[in-house]
Amino acid sequence: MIWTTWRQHRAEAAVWAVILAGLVAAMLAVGSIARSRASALGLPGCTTRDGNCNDALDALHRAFHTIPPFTAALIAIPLLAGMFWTAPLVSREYEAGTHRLAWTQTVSPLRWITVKIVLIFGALAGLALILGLLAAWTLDPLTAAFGGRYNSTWYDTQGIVPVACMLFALALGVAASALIRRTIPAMAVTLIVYAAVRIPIHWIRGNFWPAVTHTYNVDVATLLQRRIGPLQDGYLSTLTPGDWIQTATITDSTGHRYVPNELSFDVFSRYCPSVRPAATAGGDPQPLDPATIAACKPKVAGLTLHETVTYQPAAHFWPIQTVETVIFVALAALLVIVAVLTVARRRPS
Amino acid sequence: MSAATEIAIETVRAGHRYGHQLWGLRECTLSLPTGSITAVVGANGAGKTTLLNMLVGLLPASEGQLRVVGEQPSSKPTFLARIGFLAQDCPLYKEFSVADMLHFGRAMNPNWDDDLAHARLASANVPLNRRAGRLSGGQRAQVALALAVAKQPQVLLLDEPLAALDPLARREFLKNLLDSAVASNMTVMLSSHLLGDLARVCDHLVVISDGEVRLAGDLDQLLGEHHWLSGAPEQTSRLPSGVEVLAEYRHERHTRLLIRTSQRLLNPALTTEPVDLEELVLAYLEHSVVPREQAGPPRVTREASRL
Repeated sequence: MIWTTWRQHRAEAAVWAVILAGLVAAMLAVGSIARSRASALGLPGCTTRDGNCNDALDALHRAFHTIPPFTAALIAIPLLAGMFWTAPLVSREYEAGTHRLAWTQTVSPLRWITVKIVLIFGALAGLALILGLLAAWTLDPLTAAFGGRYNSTWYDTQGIVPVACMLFALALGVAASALIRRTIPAMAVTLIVYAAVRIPIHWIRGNFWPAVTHTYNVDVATLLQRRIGPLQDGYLSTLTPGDWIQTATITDSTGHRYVPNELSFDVFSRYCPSVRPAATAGGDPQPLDPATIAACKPKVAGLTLHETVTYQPAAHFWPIQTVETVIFVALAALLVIVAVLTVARRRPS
Repeated sequence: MSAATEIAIETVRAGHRYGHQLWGLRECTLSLPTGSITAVVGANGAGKTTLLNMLVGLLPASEGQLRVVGEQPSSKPTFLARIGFLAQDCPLYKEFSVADMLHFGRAMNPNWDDDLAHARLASANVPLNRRAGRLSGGQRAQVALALAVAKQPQVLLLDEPLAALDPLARREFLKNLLDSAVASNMTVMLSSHLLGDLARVCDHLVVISDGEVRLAGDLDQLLGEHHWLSGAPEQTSRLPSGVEVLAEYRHERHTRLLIRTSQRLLNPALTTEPVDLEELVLAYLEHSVVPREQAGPPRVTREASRL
């Protein structure tokens, strides 16, 4: 059975081995170049975007801006494996009539499908694990410059989630293959269901681990520094680029909500619409007309503002990955059971 | 225990229903002794493949019972090891070489006889290094047969193995099959839409039409029971009970009947002639005669003008 599986799949195995070797070489190269460039720029050591760090991170971003499209392409690997390895696994036998040959040898169909699944899933999950851990290493020096690891294409290509995605796509392929018994429709179903399940995960994975919530008292005096713009030293600005902000709200004691990025503008238009820039306009931040500020001060004196930020710290990357992995491995297990039971019935047509 | 009386394939009112309505085969009752070679004959879609698929366990019985080498057909390796199956169109892995196909047989069957497989292919002149997809129809059938035989089964089931073969390849195939069967006392059942060359190799016959068994039994016995009977119409219309009329051809002053009876007919006014196997099968296929216990009026009549 092991020999049969190998003989039937050695051509695909060769193609995928070449692809894997190419990807590993490319990722090792990018990872080491990124490391030397980052240390030449004085990174690491930078965790927040300010001062020299900002310039260094921007330089790194400019140097590696061609990388994200490649990491986006890595997301397709599990899907391609499901479509080309497992979607034809049973249906190709039906289409060629060879299921009646395979399932009348001295091997039960249960064992036939189980051995194939164990070997193929094992090999491709191993491949996904290698690529996932290597991607984590390769992208690590670039993470700060590209806004963290929660970005969906970066999240899906590194860590252990690629393994879960691989198992899920393969299980989807083999279940479609056993149920539909025709290769092209099984590939199409694999593609559609995989996309339909994976895409919404980007919107809900923020709930896979408890988020951190911080409430911070806004110093109203600092608001009077500039007419337009976000808070200068609110909690929001103390987060690192690797944190994933889910919600950020600023409210006053009456419950009115302000737009965090436009806080001063919002406050002024509510309380002191007369505040305007100084006559000698220019510079950034734009100076305000001292007369209008003086008129505003009493109006905002009693104002209390609270900033509430809910976010997933960069350190929650692994817990969230673990939860997502458990969910998709469980889905894969269900689909594998469906496929195995369907094949074990070994229907002749 | 003598091998001749042992039953290798037995079915009792067995049937398989596809979906809720469509019966592929119904009320199939057969009893075939060990070492017999049975031809299953019927039109395309008559139920031959359904019967063979049920015997190898690919289809479950919706009704009745099946026993092959004393076991209920299943997907258990202990059962599969004893059954050789050559599916319709002789499926092989196209991208495998013939040597790979033998490797497959060896890897998938613990009782594999490699020497036997090689000997069979050598006698059929099949090159081992050729890819299965590039073999001729005859070579493909020979490889499929070698795979099924080298597994050393007790029962060998072949579904339309001759359908795609030219006359010479058929002859070669049947010769190879017969050699293997005789050498190992295998019980063989093979299906075909026409009796043709099978008449020379088989000793049992099953005729299937519209999902029902029309005729089944030992070939010599069946031939002994069926006769052509001809004579004047007033004579042929008065037959003793126990005589079943399968077909009747009327001429102006002369009627010809195909009858089935186990008794001797002693009416001197009637002429009896032996039936040829091909005629017998055609009569059952053509008229879909349902076997009945007692003789009745002729169920099928054909006008002389059509003869």
